[in-house]
Amino acid sequence: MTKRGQIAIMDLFLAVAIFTIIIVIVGIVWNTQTKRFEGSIAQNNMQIKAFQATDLLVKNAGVKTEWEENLTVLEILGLSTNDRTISEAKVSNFTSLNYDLVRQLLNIQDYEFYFRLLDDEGVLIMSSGKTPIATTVSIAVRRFVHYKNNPAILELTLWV
Amino acid sequence: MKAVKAQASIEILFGIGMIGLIFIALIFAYFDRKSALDNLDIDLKLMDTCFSISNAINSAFINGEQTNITIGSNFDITINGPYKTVLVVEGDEIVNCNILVYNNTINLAGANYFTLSKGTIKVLKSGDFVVLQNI
Repeated sequence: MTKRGQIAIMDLFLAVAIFTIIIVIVGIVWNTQTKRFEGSIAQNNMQIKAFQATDLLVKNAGVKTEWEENLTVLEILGLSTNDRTISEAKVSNFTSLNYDLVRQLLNIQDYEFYFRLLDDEGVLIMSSGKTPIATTVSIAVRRFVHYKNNPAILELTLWV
Repeated sequence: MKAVKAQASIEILFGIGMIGLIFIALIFAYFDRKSALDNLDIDLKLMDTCFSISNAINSAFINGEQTNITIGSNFDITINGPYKTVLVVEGDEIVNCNILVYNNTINLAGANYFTLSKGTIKVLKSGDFVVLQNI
């Protein structure tokens, strides 16, 4: 009888051990998935901010409209003369603006940015900002625009 | 026989106690996770509203004078121009998202720090400004 009791308790320990292992595995998977989900939310937020910033750049002339002639009146950035037609003077002045001022004006202080204007074959026309480091999380938004009467691509990369 | 029966009972009691402890631990874990999931659910809804408002402001600014956007919100919304954010609050949960045209987003009184009640919100462009109001 004593032996039978011992076997029963051994069975119980075994069952509890297996159950505990399963619970621990479920907990680890749960935490991993939660972190992945939160990472995905953060990445989506980054993408929305990048899209909003590029929208502002390619569809609006800025405030004041002629800011490229006098940078002290610049309140809101914008690079276009018409919808998705990029002004040569504005983009040239934009790339020479202070890096932190651009981040402040585009309200992307939480991120680093890298701006590129490419022709339709992908050849770099001009760029500004900091090149993303290979190990970072980055989001690049590309918008098709007109530059000097030719199709071009405006690309904004946000990275952390 | 009596001694053996008593031993078996202790083992059963020990087993039941252990299962009970595990059960209590699981109950705690369940409520902890449920609370975290509920908060996440509210956060996602708040974030959705936040981005709707921030996108509407951006679109109104970009698309010009003819823009007239109407948005429904289930939460109170605060536009904080000086901090360049839209704040959406529900109980203890607060979500904020960026606005690009922070100095130029105002209410009818011209303030760039204001709160809109839940309900329908109208977003329109007026000059260099984006005006938000409850309707």
